[in-house]
Amino acid sequence: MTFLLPAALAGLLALAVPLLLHLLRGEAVREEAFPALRYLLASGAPRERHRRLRELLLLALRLTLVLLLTLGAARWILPTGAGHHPPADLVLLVDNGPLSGAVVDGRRILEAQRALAERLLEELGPADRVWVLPTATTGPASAPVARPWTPEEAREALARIEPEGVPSKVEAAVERARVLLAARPPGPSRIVVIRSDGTRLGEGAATGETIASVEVDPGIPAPPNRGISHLEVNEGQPLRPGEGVEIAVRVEAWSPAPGSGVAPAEAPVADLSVRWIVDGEIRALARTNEIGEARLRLDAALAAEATGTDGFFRGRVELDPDALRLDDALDVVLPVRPPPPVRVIGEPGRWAEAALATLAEAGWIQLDGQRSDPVRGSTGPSPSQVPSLPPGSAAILTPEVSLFLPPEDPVHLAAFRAALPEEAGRRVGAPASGAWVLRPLPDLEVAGGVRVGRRYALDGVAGEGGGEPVGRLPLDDGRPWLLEGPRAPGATAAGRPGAEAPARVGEGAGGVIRILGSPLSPGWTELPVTAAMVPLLDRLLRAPGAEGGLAPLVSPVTPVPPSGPPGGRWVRAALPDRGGREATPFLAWLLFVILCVEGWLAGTRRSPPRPDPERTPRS
Amino acid sequence: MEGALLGQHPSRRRGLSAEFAALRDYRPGDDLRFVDWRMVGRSDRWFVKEFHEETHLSAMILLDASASMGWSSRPGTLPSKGWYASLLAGVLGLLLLRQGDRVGIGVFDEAVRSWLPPRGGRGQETRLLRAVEGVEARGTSAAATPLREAATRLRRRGLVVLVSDLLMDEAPTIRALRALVHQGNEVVVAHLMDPGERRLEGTGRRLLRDPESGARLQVSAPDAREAYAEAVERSIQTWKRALRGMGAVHHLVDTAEPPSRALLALLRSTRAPERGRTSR
Repeated sequence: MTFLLPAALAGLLALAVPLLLHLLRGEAVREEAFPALRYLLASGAPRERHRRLRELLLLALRLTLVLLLTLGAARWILPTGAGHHPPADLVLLVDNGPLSGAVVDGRRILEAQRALAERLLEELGPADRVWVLPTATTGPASAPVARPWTPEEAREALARIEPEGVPSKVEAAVERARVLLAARPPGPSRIVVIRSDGTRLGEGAATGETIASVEVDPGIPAPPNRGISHLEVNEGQPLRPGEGVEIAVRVEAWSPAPGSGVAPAEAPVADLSVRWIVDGEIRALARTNEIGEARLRLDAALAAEATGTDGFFRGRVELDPDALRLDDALDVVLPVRPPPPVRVIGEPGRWAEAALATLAEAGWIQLDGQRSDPVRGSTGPSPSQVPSLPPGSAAILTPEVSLFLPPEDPVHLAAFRAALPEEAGRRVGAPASGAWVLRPLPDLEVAGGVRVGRRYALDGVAGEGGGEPVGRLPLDDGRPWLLEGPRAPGATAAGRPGAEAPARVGEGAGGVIRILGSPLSPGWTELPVTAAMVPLLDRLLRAPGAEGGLAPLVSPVTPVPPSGPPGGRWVRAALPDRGGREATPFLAWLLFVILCVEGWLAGTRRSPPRPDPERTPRS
Repeated sequence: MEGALLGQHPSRRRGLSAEFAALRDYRPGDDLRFVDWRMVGRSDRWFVKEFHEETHLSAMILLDASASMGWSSRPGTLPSKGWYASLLAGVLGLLLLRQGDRVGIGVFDEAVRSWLPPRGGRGQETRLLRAVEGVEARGTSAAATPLREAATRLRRRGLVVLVSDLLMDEAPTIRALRALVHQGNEVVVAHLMDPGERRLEGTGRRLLRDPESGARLQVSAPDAREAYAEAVERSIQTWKRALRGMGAVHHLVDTAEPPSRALLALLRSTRAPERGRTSR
């Protein structure tokens, strides 16, 4: 028996009510003397049997009444075998996560999922409405679905679904489906999830009490899988023209854990061929070692071959394909940049000079040989103007970053501040004007335990940490701070003490101003020369978002072997009234008839009193 | 009541007496002394006068004291049939005695329990009242035996009044009554019925027991009411037809009504000269 609202069957407990009333109803009958008993005996057969029979019949009718009410409330489906069902709303969720692309016996798992969906669509009529939604999508999560499709339109949408390399968000898709169905007019509705693996939603997950869900899986055991788990180019460092490139690849395997539902530990895959493909041709080969790592070393020529005229290094790292091919190859696209030119103004301090020298020697920066006198300005042919900074202060300028170091002597602090670039009329450390709003940024951590805390961004700057504006902070308390702000497109300007117009610092095309602020000794310029300062300076000079390397691959969903290939009954369960009719109209008619019979039977118990012939007046 | 009826028991026989009764057409052989000459002179037709004959009545009251007579449908509100019957028998007997009649009383159940032969006089009043006082209702009803005994013991033709609820076998009782009538007695039956016997009261089930036979029956009062009423009516009609057919008088007495009404009816019937009259 099929019920649309099986929870209403709890009403069967009410069957006990008429039964108890019937059992408790028997009043204690007291024996009494009645001399005229002979008249009763002469009146015919005793009526007690008839009364008992009628009471039993009434009991049966009342039990039937309760039963019919309960069946009607539970919306019992009478199996007619005719395959007819009223118009229904269905949401078909196709799990197109990475595993759906696994090829088993020459066919992708997604094809088996499509076949299951087709079976369901064949049972739909022209009045049924259906949505077909993938659970793994790279599009917006809240992409609107304009209207439900006809079964024909649903077939077309089903054909367009392809495996995605992103994790499948089945529960979110179920929630979305539930919202879609809740907005529909009342009627039979279902959510059907066609999984690609054995991962289950759990009992009644996100479907609520009124929308039933059916989960089906194609019954194809999830195959073992291996793929590229990590790839890094030049250890995250920028690529430089004329230099070779080293691509580090890690290959790992994931085996299905039968019934455990727990992701197994990844196992490295050794002795596996890894290829570097450019324009469809293998340009480099390597094999994974015992820990699953391989390094593809491209010399400068190969690297140049992979670099296009647009300045981007392109290629593809491939493995031998297995059942799941989505993670068997990865495209690499990275910009190739020359070392940025760095101009130093003033005396940034020995630590900074040493760090700059180290970076220049490594080829990461290109030091401008011309040093500018912060007082006299530029003497070179560069059209850039340099700020006139007070003694003891310095600036290190790159095309993307302007790094200012304050003077040690607080006497020059005011002049230093006055010389700082003005951004929309604001100045760092300006007296309380109420116009400044600083946003805290995460501490700058570098290797060697160097840490720059008290980082702030000016309001409106998309800093690395984000966060809510905290208002103006006292930056003159003697503790070091680092302030970052946008550098306006075009030239930045720095004021010159006594100058009527600010001097230009250099060309700017946007970028970041970073100001190391510390009014007391030791000032930033007096920091010790240590190896830890090199990466600090490197980070300070690196534009936001310029970190190297590619993000590692997302591990695929650990498959759980399904219980077996689905039978045909899931289609019936997916459709509210498959092969049946709702019994409620028939039950209502039957209820009416039983009520009439019960009322008649109960009424005949009380026969109307006959007029007493002895008391009626005689004419 | 006594003053209205004292000494007034017309005989059913027509004969010589001081009281004119009626005129009838002259038939050859009639005594010419009784020809109404005034009517002859007026109408030129011959009529003969008829006269009532006054006699002293010999009455026997048979009182049913079976167990069914001790029942009342509303104890405390309605008297039992036995009490009602004793009252009727006692008052009727006193009235007849005061009229100069001779009255006797027999108390019976399935047999004659006590027998007071018909006599007159003051002493008989005391004996009569003693006979009806404190009569215990017990035993089964069988009037045939006391009726046959009354027929044997009554030396003179007279009045026999049966006071009973008639909850007994009809056939032998009717035969015994018919024998009394054939003997020349005037038979009056006071058929006592409690209103709870006339109509089956109650709205639910009742477990009923016959106090005489001990039979039990559980019945649904609403279900059985109609058929019961029909059975009661059939029985009443049976008694009426039977008694009327033999020339006896049948009075149906409702014990919820004042006894005076029943007494009046009984007394009137003891005066009626016609046979086969019933009341109610």
